[in-house]
Amino acid sequence: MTDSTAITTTYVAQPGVFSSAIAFDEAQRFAKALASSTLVPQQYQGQQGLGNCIVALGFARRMNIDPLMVVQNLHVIHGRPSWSSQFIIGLINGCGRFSLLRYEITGKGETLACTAVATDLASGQELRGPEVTMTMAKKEGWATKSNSKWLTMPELMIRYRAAAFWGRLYASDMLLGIQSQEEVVDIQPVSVSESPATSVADLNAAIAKPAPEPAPALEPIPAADDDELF
Amino acid sequence: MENADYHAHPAISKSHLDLIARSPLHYWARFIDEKRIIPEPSAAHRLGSALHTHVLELHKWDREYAVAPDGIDRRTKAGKEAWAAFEVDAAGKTMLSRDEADHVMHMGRAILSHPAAAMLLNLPGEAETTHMWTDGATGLECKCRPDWLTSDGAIVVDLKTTEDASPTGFRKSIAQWRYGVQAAWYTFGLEQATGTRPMQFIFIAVEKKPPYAVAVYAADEQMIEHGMKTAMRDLAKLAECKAADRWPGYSDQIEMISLPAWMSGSKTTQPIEEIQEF
Repeated sequence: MTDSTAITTTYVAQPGVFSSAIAFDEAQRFAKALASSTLVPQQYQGQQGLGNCIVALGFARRMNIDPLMVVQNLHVIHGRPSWSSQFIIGLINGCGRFSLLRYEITGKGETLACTAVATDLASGQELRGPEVTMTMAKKEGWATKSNSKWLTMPELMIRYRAAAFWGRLYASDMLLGIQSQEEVVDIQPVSVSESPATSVADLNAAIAKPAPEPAPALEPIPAADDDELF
Repeated sequence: MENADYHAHPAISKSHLDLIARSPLHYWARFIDEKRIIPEPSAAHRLGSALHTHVLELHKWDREYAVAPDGIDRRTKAGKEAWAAFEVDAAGKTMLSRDEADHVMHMGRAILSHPAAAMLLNLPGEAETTHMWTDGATGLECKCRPDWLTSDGAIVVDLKTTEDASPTGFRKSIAQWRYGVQAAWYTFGLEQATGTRPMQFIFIAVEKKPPYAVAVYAADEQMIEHGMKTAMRDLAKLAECKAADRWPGYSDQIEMISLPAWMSGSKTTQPIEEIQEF
């Protein structure tokens, strides 16, 4: 299954596309070519997708992987970039620093729990991720949303989440701080400010209200890529 | 609660505080004296009320206001009859002259054409809601009635007619009419009464004469703080007078008097701060 996915990278960070005017210029030309391809997902296509392509090129450069791999696996969900879980697992398995990820499953149904485990090849040390349980999924509200895949395929979701947590702890340099797409669907930021729209500046901003241009770069795709999951 | 009922209710409002601040005697004469005569509202007051109705509660306009028809010559028989007919129609309503009504309409239009004012009054909210609470320190029953309160309780909007809506001009009005006390009284009162402290107290100031210029001002922290201190001082004074049932006027003795501070040479221009000392 997903364990067989391995993305081989030699992890050498390259200068980013925003590091100089020349690098950016170069990236723009790459991005144009990429955006004109019909093999890239829709949010990277055409003039509107150009910005997304540049961002994706930046990631590809920093992670030293093929740009096409980034655009296939970097999704914008609820306005935030996210990796597909398979891609995260693939990165971990293919980077050469760790053994393949294993999933230790206990319980069933309500008591189902999963811990992702891998071995650090350099030190031989076993690296255990945090245990993910169905109770946690319920309490965090992941499993209580309508259409949640936690209700229909908990065994897969619990492994994905355990892998994402493991990656966050032990391979955060490779993930560049980006969550898995399932996490983004499940976990949405909440606003904690008391009444954000009542400062005088906010009120003044509300006076002139031409409809804001939808930002194509942040346009969310409706849900997790189903092809990816099944 | 209707406007008249609100004003008749004995709970302490901002105008009660204004009077006790002037002197307990003035307060007594207006609110306690059994032989008191309730004065007829002044023309300015009538115009202000009409503007409130026009801008905030237009649906009540026909019920509450009657505009005297133009061109009636009350010296002729026909004119007398027309006027009598109008008076029957206007019974129980506030009468406005054609001129006054025109002023009100122009002011109303100016307010609703002002981007900020229109935005505020278009927020979901309610006009003229009455709020009551009991002051913890004095045990006095208190009340306020914001012109416009947004549904989330975050913004209070107050309409003011003024001669001069410029920042300088309106600052003088703030000092003269103690608008800072009002901002504080409403902010504090709404917090007591509803549990939500408004984040903003906003004045929509409209000039009473053409070109009916409009300005919108949000009360700053300092104004609310100063207003709160003043309000609490007035409320304490009122509680003291009530407890002792003593309502003194000004001083019984001879007091020294000097030039106002702004004339005494210590400051070169007439500073607003002097007036703000109420």
